[in-house]
Amino acid sequence: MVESTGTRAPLVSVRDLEVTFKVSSGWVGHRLVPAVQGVSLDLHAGEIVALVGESGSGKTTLARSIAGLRPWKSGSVHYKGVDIAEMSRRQLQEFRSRRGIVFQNPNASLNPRMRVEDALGEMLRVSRSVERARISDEVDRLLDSVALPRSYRVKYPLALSGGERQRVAIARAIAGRPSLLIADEITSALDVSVSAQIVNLLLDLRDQLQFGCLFITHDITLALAVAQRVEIMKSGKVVDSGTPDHIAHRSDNEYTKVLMTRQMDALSGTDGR
Amino acid sequence: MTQHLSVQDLKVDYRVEANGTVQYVPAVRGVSLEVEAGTSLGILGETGSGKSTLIAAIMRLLPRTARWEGRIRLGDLELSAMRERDLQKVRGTIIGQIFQDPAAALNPVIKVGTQIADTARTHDRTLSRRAAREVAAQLLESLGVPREKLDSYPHQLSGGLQQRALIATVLVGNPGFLLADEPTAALDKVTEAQIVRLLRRLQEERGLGLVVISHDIGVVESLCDRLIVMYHGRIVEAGKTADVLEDPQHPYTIGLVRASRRDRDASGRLVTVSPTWEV
Amino acid sequence: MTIEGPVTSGIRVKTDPAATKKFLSGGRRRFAQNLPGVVGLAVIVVILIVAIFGPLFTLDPNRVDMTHTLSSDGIAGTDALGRDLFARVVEGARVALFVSVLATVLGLLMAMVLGVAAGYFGGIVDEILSRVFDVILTFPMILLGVLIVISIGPSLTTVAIAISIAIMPRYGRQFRAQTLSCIQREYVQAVRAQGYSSLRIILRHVLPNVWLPVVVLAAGNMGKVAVSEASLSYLGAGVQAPNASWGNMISEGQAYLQTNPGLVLWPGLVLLALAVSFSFVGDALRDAFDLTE
Repeated sequence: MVESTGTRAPLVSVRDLEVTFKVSSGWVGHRLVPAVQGVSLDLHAGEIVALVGESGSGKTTLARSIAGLRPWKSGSVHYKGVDIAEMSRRQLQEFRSRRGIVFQNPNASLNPRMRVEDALGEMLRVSRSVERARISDEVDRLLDSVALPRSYRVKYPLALSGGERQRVAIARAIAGRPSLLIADEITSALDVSVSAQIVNLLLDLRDQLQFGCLFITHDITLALAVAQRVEIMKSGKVVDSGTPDHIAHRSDNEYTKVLMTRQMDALSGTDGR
Repeated sequence: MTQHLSVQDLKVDYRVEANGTVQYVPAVRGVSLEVEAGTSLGILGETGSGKSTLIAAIMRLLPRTARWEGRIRLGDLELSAMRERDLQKVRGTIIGQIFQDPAAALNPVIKVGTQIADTARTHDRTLSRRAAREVAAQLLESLGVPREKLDSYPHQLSGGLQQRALIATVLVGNPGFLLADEPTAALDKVTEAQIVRLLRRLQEERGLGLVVISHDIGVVESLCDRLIVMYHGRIVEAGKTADVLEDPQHPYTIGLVRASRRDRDASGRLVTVSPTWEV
Repeated sequence: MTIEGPVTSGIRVKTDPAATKKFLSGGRRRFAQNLPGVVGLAVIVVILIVAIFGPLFTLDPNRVDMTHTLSSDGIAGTDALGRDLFARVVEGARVALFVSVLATVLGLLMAMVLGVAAGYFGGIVDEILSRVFDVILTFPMILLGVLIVISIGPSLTTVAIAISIAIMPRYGRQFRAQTLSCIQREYVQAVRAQGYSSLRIILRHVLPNVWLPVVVLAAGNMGKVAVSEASLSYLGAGVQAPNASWGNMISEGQAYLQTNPGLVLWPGLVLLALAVSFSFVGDALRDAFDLTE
């Protein structure tokens, strides 16, 4: 179910963003490497926008900047109309509590020493989305919403499969009822059947909670299956953008066509045969 | 020098100690397969399907914690009955294994040329250092790697060149049968296509028997004449690759193929495997 | 080099062996920045030079002169038998260094063979060898040394052998642990699949990767080995009179502690300096190569 984005104000608005890295060069010096160059895009509540690109395209850097995790050189990122770079401490705190992030590798992002209920409970406490007394009930509810049995509360991450760990990571990301969700290659480390389940879960949660989601992936066919809008990135720039239908069938962009052909070849094995 | 591979009723358990008790967890539950000389078999399966254990069992390289039974034959050789000493002569010269992550499967502090030459001298003790180096150089060139890379360390090479170097270490013993465990999983899509093409060419040129494990349908489709699908240690479907992929019969295969193609159902959700059936 | 990710991601330090190689070039520089390590190394070198060339310039350390006992002739005076103290200290240094090096080398060789075998082959081999390590470790070093020396008969080499047996298990366990983690690596699996024999794998892929941390550990320990030699000689189970060892010098000089403390202090302080220097050097090496215990 796709919400029409129409003329509503965007949740997140990026204009001419430039992000650079300082990289050590030679013995002492530094070079400035551009990671994101002049990117503009909008994200609306209830919408999933996919950032598609290969390694080094700048998609993760862009997502981190939008999340407020990485500073930028020039341009702006507005969240609900306010420029993040100019937010007061209070506003920043509010922004951070309304933002959820899911990473690629659940092994790294889940503390192996914390049980599921502790990890979720901590997130609930920090985001203050429910009163303390109701945290335990909320943990149960979160597990329900990611289709994990409530008995999993007491488990440690090591006892869970990759897909289950990723569900916990998602539960943690939505614990604070975020309005912005960043999903950075959340299925890249999972089997294809489990990936599909996680993507379906993301779509269900989006329908329920109506967050705006930035979905980062290197897999264009995955992006086409999940997003309302796809932004193709190469070398720090957005080279093509549009609806899945447009990208899959009607784009004139050479790079998009290359990405589509490669993926389709790999999927259908028509490579050279 | 081509061989026919035959696996009969292979079962493998892993010994696991938990809470003071010893349990045997099954990884392969009675698998039988045949690979004709010079043909290729794909093994499609996800995590936990037992596909890697199957390969390790054929190479007789299971860890000490594994317990197995069954019969494995390659040509005239009864691999399942051979002793380690004899198996060492067979490995690399009759049957070889290509690993998934070339950056990990090559020793990072030894130059790639040296690694290939070392393996050459392992198989042929009479080979001098210089001759072995020349063998390595020519082999690399035939695989599309410039001779200068002989003196490179693995981390100095791109993923594609690393995988070619790894393949060189396997081919240097001239085996007639190759087992490839996810040979392209660590590579990007462009390089993957190149390596797939390379493997296909090698198979045709040398008449190799080939077993390819992959979770990626595109890879098995490009490389394999026949296909088996594994789930929880068992083969749930087998047949010609085109048949299995275009007209799968088993619910797991159907779900897996449709999930790979990102098929969607009526409500816009991705079709996937639904474990509501018994294997 | 990819531009995704943090600034330092230009360096791909993926596996330990590669890191070791890269650090080897930077390690020398890091060692040079470690003051205690550098000072320690200097002290060791000085003692070494004096030990090697000293006898060319000193008096005979065993020459008894009952007319000049406990005097202050010479650089450090004479002992109760009129022997030149400085010459005896130099002789003691030769003994200490000889035994330290020999014991350490023997200990490392035994440890390498047994430890790598235990780690690589596992199973019953590992069970037996680990028990052997345990048993030797439970013996107090001095007791072990005394027992061995008494059964074989005291001499410099015997002392070295005794100490090498006593220190071997610690290094053996290190070799075993390093080997265990090394054989998990995929490149070891890969060469097994290429038909390499166990011996070839151990020589080519295991040993080059496991030796460094253990050798660094042993280097730092050499001071303690010197102290062990001195202890054994002190108890009479090491170097025998009239030959000089710091240990028996201290034992003989004890009686004169009130009147001629030099008899004890000279050998004692040099031993202390040597031991502390080795310790500093060991620590500095461990820091330089970023090795965790």
